[in-house]
Amino acid sequence: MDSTRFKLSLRIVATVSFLSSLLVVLTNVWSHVLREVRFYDGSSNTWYTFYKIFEVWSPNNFGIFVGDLWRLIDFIFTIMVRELDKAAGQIFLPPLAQLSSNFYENILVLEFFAELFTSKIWFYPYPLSLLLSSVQMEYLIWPNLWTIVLGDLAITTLWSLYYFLFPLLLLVALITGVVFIWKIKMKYLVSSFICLQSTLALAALTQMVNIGLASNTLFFSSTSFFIQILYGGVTGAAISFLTSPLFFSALVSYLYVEIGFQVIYMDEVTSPALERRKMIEEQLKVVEEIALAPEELATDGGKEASKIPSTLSEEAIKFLRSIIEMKIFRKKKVEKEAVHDIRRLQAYVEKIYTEIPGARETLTAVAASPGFGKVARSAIVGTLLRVGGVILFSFMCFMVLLALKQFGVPLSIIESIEVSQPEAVLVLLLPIAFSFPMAAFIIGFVKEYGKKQTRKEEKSKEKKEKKKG
Amino acid sequence: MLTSRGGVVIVSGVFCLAFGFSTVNYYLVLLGIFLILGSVISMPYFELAVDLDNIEIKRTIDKEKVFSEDFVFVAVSVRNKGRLRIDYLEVFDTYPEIFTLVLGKSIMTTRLDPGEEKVFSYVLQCRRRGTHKIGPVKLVVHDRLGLHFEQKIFEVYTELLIYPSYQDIRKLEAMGGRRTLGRLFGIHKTKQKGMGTEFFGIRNYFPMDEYRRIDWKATAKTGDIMVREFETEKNIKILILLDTSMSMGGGLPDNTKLDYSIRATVLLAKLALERRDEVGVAAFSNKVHSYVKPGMGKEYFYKILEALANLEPQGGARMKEVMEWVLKRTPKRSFYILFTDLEDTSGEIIEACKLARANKNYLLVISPFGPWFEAYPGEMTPVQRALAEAISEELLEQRKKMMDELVKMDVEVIDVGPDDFLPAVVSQYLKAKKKGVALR
Repeated sequence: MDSTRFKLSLRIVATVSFLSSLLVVLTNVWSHVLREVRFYDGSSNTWYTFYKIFEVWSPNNFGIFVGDLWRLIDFIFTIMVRELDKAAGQIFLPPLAQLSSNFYENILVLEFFAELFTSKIWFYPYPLSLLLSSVQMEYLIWPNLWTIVLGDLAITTLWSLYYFLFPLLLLVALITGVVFIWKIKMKYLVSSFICLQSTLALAALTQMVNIGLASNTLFFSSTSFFIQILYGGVTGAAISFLTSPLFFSALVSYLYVEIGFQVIYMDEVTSPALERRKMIEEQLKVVEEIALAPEELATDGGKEASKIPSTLSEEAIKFLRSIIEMKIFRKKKVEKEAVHDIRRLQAYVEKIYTEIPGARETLTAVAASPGFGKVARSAIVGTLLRVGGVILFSFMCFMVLLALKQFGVPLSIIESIEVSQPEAVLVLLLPIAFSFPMAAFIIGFVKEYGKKQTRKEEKSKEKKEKKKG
Repeated sequence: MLTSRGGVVIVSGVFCLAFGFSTVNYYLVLLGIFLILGSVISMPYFELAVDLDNIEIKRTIDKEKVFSEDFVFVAVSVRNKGRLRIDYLEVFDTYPEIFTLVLGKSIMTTRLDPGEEKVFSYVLQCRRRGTHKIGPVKLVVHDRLGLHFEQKIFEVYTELLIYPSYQDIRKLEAMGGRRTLGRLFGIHKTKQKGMGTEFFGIRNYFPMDEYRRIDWKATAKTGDIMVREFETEKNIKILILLDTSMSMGGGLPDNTKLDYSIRATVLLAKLALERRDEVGVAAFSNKVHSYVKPGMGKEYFYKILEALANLEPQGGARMKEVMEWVLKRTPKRSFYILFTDLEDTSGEIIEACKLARANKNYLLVISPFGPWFEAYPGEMTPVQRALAEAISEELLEQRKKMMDELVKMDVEVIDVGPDDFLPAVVSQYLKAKKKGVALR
């Protein structure tokens, strides 16, 4: 498989996992982005259904949203300036403001125009008579504004912001996801994953989403989830667990991260060698090009030394400049020296290619690149093993009540409301999760101990041999 | 150890878990568990598979001694001696900052199967003379997902001796220096007849004369057998004395007075050796740092290069003591070429020169003038230029006094700057040879 096809297959895998994850999220938060509108057409006696982008997007409401936001900022800003001024005389104010005796009035004039503008463009929801025009009016209206802004308006603004975040996060997730597929870089994977999951977390904040709850109420409802495992037996619980939409959704989201990491690994292991090869071939081409450059560049006669001939390609000029910069302290004839250096480099490369066997391969590190097939095979096997392990241990974490029962904990505790809460998974999650680093630590310790013993034995052998000698 | 990537995954997992608990959302709880377990599950296998002691690293270079500005091919091989595969290995070979990576990369990312060896290479350009070490090698091993890592620095060093630049000699050779300056016997001649190539005269044949010397034309004219006689060409002993005291370090980076003096020494040594003069070097400051007794042959040139390679400006100049030391070891009637900036005001230079002259040596002082090496006048502001001129005048006055003293002792002194340094040295050498100095 060649590198282009390999990269393409990596992108396809990344695309599939991203789309699956996106689909899981979209199906669950769709109602926050779109609103279903049904209307009845009496003439044809049918119900029509169509989706309307959530109210926050309609021009009127967006105008309200913008107006709310403006009012909030205006309020905070004016209060801040007033309080600062009060607290420290006029020290905080800029010199221009200090000169003007009617500083507030200047601000209010600005406010007036800004509010007038928003009212014209965005159907400002408040009568123009309420617009502020003087300090007196400002002080008159402030107490009312206080209650308005911190009352209904604040809540409306918060809700507007809340709904605004859904499409925003999805958009960012989509963009970063696409960039991840194109560039296969860790930061894009992480940001797209975080954005996707944040939409779900945001929906969960208002209890507006509970994945799989409708079709799997019995299994994943907080009160009966653990009980079912307790009385339904391990096999039944496992089947319910593995077939639940909630498990499927979480697995798809997790697989996006897992597969994304594997894709990044495969790219990181194979790409540098390919890029290196490409880079060195380009470098050599540039070196050759400069070496064959017009003679006047390399000799004193003819053109001025400071002029690099335009016949060279952009890369060649860049390379030549970098060599010239290295010789920056040699003010005279640097271009000439740089070209000589490059010519010597070309001769040297030709020499090492003929004298040192495998020099070309090691320079381009062709041999360092692992086979695509090998990498892909080990990645697939590795992913299956890891995901299998993760599923197994995750299921074990949910067997809290069974474990408690096995440990002989009284039934009153097992069946208590506290134990049936999701936090109960910590009872098994913590020991399971910590057992892996612990196992790694023990392995490391045993290895180190073994090495120490070997070193000791070797030393004592040496000593014995010395004594014998 | 956990990488930052691993940290991000665990933190995301904990966040999902906490958020799931607070909102009673099993999806987030499950996702959190997946993420936490996914980041720790491969820890034991990673610890088992990765043993950095099982990795063998070797570095080879195509030559251990090179001239400054020459290229060096560095190859690094990495071998997995262990029984388990290393999925993700990054190898960073380090080299001193004064080197320039001109081709390839000193980094490799790869995967190593058990028993497998991988090699990568790169080309460096060495820009500063001296002994330099390439190394160490840093090795970073990740698990496949990059969640855990281990690193080790392998103290693998390769020593590289960098001679002073050969560029000046190359230029000279390119200009036809070999031909014009004569590779065989020198310009210098004695009025002694002998085995040279310069015609001296014709005389009658005596038994034991070589037949090839018979001048048949003269024989035919006179009727007696006549032979041609030639002048003997004699070579001299040159000792280059190089002042490496702190003041010689003045000047632009890599173009200090000492750097120029070393370049001139290399050029002079090459020229003189090609003309079959015996050349030696003594580098000194408050003590003699390196001494190569005057000698002939190609290997002498490399001995001189090695003596010059590691010189750095240091200490003060105790010229009298040094001269005594050198005179004891060097034959009399030698041609001494002293590179010094004459910035020592203790009068030791005069004493040292007196000693050298007393031993019937011919002495030439090549003196790089400090202010000319500090900056190019074109780059100075008017104020800087005025200051430089004032300093120069003061120094010049001081030097003039010293020079007058030296001239009284029949010691020639040449002031040089960066632009005329090398040509001045070469022409002075040739001039001295023509004059027939330091002949026994």
